[in-house]
Amino acid sequence: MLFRKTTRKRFIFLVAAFMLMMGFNTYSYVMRFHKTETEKRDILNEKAFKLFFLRTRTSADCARFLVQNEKRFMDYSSEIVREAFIYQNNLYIHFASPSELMLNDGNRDIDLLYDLFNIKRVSDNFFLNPRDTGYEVNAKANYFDHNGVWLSDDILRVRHKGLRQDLLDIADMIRQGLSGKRLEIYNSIKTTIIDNIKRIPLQENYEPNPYLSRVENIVPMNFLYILTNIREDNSTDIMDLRESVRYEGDSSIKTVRSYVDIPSRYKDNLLYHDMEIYPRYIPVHAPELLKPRWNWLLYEDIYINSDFMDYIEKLHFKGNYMFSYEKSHIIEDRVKKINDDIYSNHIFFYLTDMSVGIAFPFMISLFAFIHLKTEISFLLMFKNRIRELLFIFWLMPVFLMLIVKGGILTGYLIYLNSLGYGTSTYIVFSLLMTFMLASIAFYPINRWCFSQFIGEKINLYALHKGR
Amino acid sequence: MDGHFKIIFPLILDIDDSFSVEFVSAKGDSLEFNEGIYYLCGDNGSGKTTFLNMLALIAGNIGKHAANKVSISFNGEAYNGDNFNYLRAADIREKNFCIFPQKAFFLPISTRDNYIILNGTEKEREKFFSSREYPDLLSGGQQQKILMDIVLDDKKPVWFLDEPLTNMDAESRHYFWITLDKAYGKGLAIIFFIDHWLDHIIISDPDFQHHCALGVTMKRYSKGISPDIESQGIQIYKNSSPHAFFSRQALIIEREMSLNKMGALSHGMHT
Repeated sequence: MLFRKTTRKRFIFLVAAFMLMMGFNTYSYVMRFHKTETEKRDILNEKAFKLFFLRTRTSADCARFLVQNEKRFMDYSSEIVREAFIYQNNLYIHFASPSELMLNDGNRDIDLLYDLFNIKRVSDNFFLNPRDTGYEVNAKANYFDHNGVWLSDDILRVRHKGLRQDLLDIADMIRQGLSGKRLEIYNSIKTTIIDNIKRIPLQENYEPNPYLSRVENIVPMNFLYILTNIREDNSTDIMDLRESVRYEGDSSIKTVRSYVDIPSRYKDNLLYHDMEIYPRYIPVHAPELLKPRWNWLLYEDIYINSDFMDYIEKLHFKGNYMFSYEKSHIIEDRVKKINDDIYSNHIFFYLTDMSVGIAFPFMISLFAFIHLKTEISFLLMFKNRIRELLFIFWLMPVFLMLIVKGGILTGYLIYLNSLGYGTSTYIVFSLLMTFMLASIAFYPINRWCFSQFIGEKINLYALHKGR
Repeated sequence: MDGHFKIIFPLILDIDDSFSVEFVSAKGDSLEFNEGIYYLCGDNGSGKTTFLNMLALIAGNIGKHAANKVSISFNGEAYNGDNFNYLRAADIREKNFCIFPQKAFFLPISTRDNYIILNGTEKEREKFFSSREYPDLLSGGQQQKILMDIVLDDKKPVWFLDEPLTNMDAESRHYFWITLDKAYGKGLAIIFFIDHWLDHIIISDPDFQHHCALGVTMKRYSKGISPDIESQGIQIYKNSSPHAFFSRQALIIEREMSLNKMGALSHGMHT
């Protein structure tokens, strides 16, 4: 150690202060990084943010809406989901029938709705024996409560009554044009289905996704298919038609297998556009609305497809209100806040880390030169140690930075791993970049500190005398 | 190892904007130093140390930008050459020069560590130095003797000795001359030597010849007024075969020591 005893302590304090500041700054950055990263991950993983329900007022409006906007939605990598809609706060959704399940490719957008409303398992089990290839099939006579867990019985009763009334109205719309014996059978079947329909909670203590909690009940659209198919089916004998839908003792409805499929007249057309159950909200799925975005400032924030959001906003302005209008604002506000936090955290870190990473090593080298110039000049009279001198005083702070940053980074990655959170490895880039920039920038500064030893004017004699 | 200096005059050293030193030779435009011991004789502040520092590459301007400032070459390599820089200067110092400074100085570590860091050429010699003793705590004369042991290396061809005998007692001075005698001729070829107490001995010594006289002009610049100019002179004496001189000096000191001993004894008898 070339320092004398009294100077040694000061030098150690200077180095300790450097490590403390560098460590505190890096730790603070990593903590904020973790916070923003968690928020970012939450918002990117929130599937409800990729789904919008847009209102259409009438069947004609609905048809026009689809014609005018379907292609535009596709341009924005989004898609209208046809086999579901919201009417009177209830989601009517198609449950794949056994015959459809055999052909299902498993890539339908409607699967997203099953996930979001937590009805994947329910939809899979809606048919009691889906693998039974017989002539008839058993479907549960249930609709599913989406957000009624903490509601009183009175409210649930009112909701049930309202839904039942809606279903009766819809059934009345479907039966238009029927008369005579067929009408009598139709009404009988309608009563069988609607009178026996029961509310089933999704799961005990199930809390709906807050962004979808306005949806009260989930109604299998297959009940409506049965009614339509009854109306349309002219091939069955009228007496057999009466027997084609029966309520079973196990709270299920036994019916002809083909009756639970989408009626042929609706297959390539708009669903139920001839039934005036309006205003109805049509789901639009935008899977690429939010994506992680890499920035050259070496951080990753959230990309939001603002063109799509503007377009949605425009549709809203034209009267195609959103079922959850506030959701779009929540998305934009949260994305902006998280992006601002990510940006400010990185900018603050880059500036402070570069400042500390250059200023403190500069102070260390300057301290070393001032306190060691006598010893160093004396040493250089006898030994050619200039390269080593420059290297040591450059390497020392660089090595300390590496220890501090490497230690905190390793600790953080181990912590993430222990949480099973996965590793946000791009934090390595920002730490590595600041480390490299500080090391490179400090190199000429360090040489400048010792410039009296490396210039074209040799001055060892005077420096040794302390001048 | 060869050792040969050549100087082209005038030799100018710009210490900073306010002070400069210029050396000229009475003999002509150039001066050479070959094998032998060179004794520099002059008053205090006459520039002897500055001249040695420039030769020893511990002061002065180097490199191509210093073309008109320094005109010294060692073994044919000019200090103001195109490729000459601080690294080359340090390399020459390490391989060729032993510099004994005016005031003894040590690194704040043990004597042994000082030897290892500053010299360290002979593993065997390391154990002669204490690993517990800090040379800063020794007396001035002891420090000079220790420093001599540490830095003087008989494998290097040029020694610059700036008043090495100051503070030394008779025994140490005797050790010094013996050291020079042993080293000279092994690897050591040129000795530059400054001392204020040997002037009359050197001048009267038949083995020393007057080598040259240097005129030294020192200029101090102040803003707005003409520079303050001071002139001095340095005489340089040369002894090409100094072994006899070293032996004589050692013998003189031995006698001095004997006389001192006898004086001390007689003083003891009287008391």
